[in-house]
Amino acid sequence: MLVLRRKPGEAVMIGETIEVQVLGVEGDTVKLGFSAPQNIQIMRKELMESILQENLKAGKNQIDQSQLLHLLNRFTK
Amino acid sequence: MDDMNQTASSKDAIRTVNSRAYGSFQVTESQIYHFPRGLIGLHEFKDFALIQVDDGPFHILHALNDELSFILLPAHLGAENYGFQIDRPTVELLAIRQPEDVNTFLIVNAIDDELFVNLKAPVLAAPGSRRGCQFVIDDPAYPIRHPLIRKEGS
Repeated sequence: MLVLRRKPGEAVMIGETIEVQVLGVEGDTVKLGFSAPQNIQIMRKELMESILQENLKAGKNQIDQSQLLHLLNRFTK
Repeated sequence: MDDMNQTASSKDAIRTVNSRAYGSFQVTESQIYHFPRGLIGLHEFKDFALIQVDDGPFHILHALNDELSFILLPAHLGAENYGFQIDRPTVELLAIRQPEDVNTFLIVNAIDDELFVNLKAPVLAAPGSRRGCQFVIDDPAYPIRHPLIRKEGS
């Protein structure tokens, strides 16, 4: 892992298109600003991981899914 | 849109999707959506078929080349008073001009015989541009697991 020391107002580039700026430090909280191309999605890691886990549950369970769909359609008719 | 309904007649079909769960089916160009960001945590899958199931409310979002698929429900059927702002990069990504240009779907998940929908990260699909994305709503009121409850009489 690369470690850099930065002061508020200073920034780091990731590649040529992603910029991370330190906006401020309050106690043990760091406020960061990001700018990145539109195809890069930026979010808190723990949020991304919880959505990923839900996506995997919903998306990889295919055999169950076709049976589930059958049930769902009976359910709505 | 009528041409989004069900699988394609052989005349318009441009693509066959082979699925262990749903068998082999054909799709038209209008049913194929490009997801430039992929889905969250699943960035390697960028092209999907979006198919309405038997004229019912449910849709299948199936990766074109992989055994990855989701059951989707139009958002208004899965949650009441559901609304959110789409940020500018997402508007540009979907190439839309107004809210009517995009359809919002919730991913359905079955956990221990109960059905849930993901209100936190809906799937947005724009028929005009045939682009889609999974959008994360920055609102703590929307959970990843919201119970799907059938409305009486609907």
